[in-house]
Amino acid sequence: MGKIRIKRGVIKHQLLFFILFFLAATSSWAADKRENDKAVTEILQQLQTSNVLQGKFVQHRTLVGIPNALQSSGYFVFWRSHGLYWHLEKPFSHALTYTPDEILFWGEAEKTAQPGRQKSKIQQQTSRILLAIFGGDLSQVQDMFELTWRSTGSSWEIELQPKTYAAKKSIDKVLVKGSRHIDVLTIWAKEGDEMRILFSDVAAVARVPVSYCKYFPEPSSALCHAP
Amino acid sequence: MKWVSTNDRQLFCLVDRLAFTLLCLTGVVLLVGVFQWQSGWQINTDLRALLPVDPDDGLLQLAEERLQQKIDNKIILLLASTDKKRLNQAADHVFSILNKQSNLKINNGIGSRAGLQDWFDALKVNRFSLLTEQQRVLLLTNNAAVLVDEARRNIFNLQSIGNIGLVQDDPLGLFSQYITENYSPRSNIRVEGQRVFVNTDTESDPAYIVLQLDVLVNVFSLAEQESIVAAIKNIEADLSRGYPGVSLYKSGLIFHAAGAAETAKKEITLISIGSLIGVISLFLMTFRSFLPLILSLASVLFGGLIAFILCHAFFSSVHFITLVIGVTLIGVSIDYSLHYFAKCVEPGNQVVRFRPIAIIFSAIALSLTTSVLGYSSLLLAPLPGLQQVAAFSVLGLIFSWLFVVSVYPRLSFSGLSRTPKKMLLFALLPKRFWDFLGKRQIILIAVLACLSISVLLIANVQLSNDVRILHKPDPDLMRDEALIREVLNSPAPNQFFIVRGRSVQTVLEQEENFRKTLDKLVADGVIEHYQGVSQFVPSQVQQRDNYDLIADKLYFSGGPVARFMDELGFSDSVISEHLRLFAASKNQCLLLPEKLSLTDSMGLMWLGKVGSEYASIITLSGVDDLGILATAAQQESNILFVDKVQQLTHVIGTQQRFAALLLFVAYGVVMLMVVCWYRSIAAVMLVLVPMLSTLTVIAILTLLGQAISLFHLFAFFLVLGLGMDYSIFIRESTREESSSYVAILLSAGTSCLSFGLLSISSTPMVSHFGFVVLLGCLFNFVLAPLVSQTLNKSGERSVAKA
Repeated sequence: MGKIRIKRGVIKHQLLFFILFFLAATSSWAADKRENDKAVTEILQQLQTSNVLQGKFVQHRTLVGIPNALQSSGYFVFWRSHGLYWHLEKPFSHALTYTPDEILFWGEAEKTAQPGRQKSKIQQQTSRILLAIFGGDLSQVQDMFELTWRSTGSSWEIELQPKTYAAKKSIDKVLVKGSRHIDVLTIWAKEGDEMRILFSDVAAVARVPVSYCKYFPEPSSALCHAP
Repeated sequence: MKWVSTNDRQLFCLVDRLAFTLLCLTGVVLLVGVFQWQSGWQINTDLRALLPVDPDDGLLQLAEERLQQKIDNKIILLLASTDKKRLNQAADHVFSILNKQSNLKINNGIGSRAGLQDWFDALKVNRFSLLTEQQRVLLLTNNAAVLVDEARRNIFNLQSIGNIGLVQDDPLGLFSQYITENYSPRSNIRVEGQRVFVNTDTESDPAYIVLQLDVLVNVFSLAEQESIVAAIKNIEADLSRGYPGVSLYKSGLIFHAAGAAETAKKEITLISIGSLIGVISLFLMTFRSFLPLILSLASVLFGGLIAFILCHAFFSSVHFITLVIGVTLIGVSIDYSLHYFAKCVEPGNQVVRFRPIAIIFSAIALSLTTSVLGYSSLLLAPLPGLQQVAAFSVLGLIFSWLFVVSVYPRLSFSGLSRTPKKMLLFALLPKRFWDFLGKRQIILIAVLACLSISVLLIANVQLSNDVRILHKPDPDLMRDEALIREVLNSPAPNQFFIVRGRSVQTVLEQEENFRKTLDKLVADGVIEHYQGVSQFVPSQVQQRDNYDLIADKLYFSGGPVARFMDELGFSDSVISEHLRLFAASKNQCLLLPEKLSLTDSMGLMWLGKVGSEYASIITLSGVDDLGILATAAQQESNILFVDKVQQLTHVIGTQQRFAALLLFVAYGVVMLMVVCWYRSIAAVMLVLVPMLSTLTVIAILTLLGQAISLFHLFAFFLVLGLGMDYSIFIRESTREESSSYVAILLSAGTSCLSFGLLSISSTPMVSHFGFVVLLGCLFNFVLAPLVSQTLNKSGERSVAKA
């Protein structure tokens, strides 16, 4: 009988310990989650505060079958809800604007600002993904991607795993890293090709530089006028 | 009971023979009915079955049937909500319910993953034979450099993440561009697992989940319709209870068919009950006995039953419109019983067994003949639905008539009361009116009436061939369908091109050739978009041409592709391997898969072998100008432009002219018949009653601003039949007897009740039919006594005495 009592007491203690451990772990996980959620919210808020961003980029394109990555560079201007102007300077000059509805291609006679248009659903979706990433409005891409957030101190990273069949056909995953703004964007294609873009000198500005206004739809906004 | 004369004895022999014939026929028909019953009764609710087969183009008909088969068995459900989480939960619930339905199968048209992968693998293997039209034009115009420049830019552009496959397999991105252009969905749909979503422009827009279902049973089976519609209604109820904010929109032929059947069922019940109450009241007021009523209904039911069995056996199914119109037989075939009982209640007739039938035999025989002739002319109309109505009416009338002449004389009606005086007064009211006016006034009024009506008619009568007469769809269902079409960017359901040819390859070649015209139409804004099978699988000729073009402009030794790959940094071995792969695929061709189940759109567009030819469909979106499309098709020998609305309008218009002509024919035949029967030209006056009624009804319709429709015209046939009945019975009244007038009053009363109730039907064609017959009956009743005023009977031979 005594042994049995001892055993029961042990079991009770073990059970109590397990429950306490479970509660502690759960509350710790919950606290972590809250912290993480808080951090994510802060990052999103931070990304969403800037209406206009501009900066430089260096792009590394790794292709299966080529030992060295192809490098290119240029600069960009992001204007919230208007688009992303992407100007490749090296190895050749080429510019385009990703707008919410289409991609505008600026040819050699770019000063005339007569864009060539591509308006397929895929181009539209590509535009939306890029604008959502730059604008920190990731709810726009949640339909197509599974999002995973990680943050340490002031730096953060988001991993986007494609959910839809069409996206899965071409993209393996997308990783966005940043601190105050986006620092690195890496895209892994399904069959091994890779694109890595390093951003530098990214800065939030109050207004779109006047000379770039023509590259965005509806440039008559107040943000386009000189201060 | 006692026998009267030799003539009566001869009639008795005839009646006996008719009874024997009826017995034999009934036995055979019931046997047929038992066989039919074992395989199940088919009530057709498809309104298109009312329309004729186009004898000019069998292929078109077959192609349309094939297309209908593919569309008819589909249901699209659209779940909508601004709360995406709740929408997904609701979709889970709907999926779980639908998976339990044995008569439905979820088929989102995305095919199996393995099937899609196999197809993409086949496309990839044959990638060197696939080019977009723009790529072809650039190569043909020696602008390969433009393609290389574009590829160079593409390598460094962000949107190249959307490319399919590796750069080393498709250095210029030609294949990727081909897939993007031809295989990307036009709508904003996205497939996630086995679920299809519709992307929305902004966060505040409702999100949609699309469910496409295959109906695994006959959509026109009433029992299956009820089961499926009930299941969808349960889902709607579940959603409104458990998932507030989630809406369900539905589209599918089965909902239209079920709606039409439901309406017909309600209307049949209403018309039957209304007619029955009216008829019972009239009978009881007149005869004060249930026996005439029971026998009259028995004669109608007997005629209806036999007509149903025979029509079902002959047409394989009976259309619900046939049944709705068939119910009106109560108002017509009951006339024979009415005249019989009206004669029975006259003094002296009750005790002489065969006197009533002897008195009315020739009249009801002539009446039957004129009605059968009138209705039979409808059989000439190449409208299957109307042919069935005509057959049903003729058979019902004949068998009801046989029932009256064979069964009634064997029964005793000695207990029947005489007609009440008030009823007699009312029955004789029109006669008294015409008697009061006298002959000169009658002629004056008739001439004036005819003249004024004619003037009115010539000046204002309008014809309508509006297709909406056939079906008045549920507005909620139409709203749902419009939203689904808009959200899914579905092609126009009623306009498309049919491409035909002697082989699969000929069809694909014809299509490719015609696409050049269509591209111009897209550029001109005549259509927004089109889709054809050849965009998915080009013809072998086109593929070989593409390959040769690529070989000539891009893949030759030291050519643009090799140089571009070298520029990018690919090793010589990789470049050589790529060029070897290109050379090895020289004789490869992508073929149209035998089973086109990969994507719904491709399966829908390919009709396959139709008769001795092959055919495909080119679907259209955003159609702006139908005339230009029709002209474009006319310029090609193997392209047909199908505009179903225009086709229906044309068919109705043709039938309308045809029906008007047949009405004249029917009047002519009936006139000829009465002249032959009575051997007197004056007998033509008998036809004056229905003719004047018809003209008056047309005038009233014109005054009411109603255009004369096809079904108004068909109702005029019935007015002719009924009017002839009344004229003949009055003509056959050998003395100043009131029984004929009582019978006519009862007949007009019962007809007005049944047809009058048809005029409240929500189906315009039924309503038009009922309204005309209601007015026609009233005018027939009022005008019928004119016969006794205008005909000089002494100079004619009475058939009753013959």
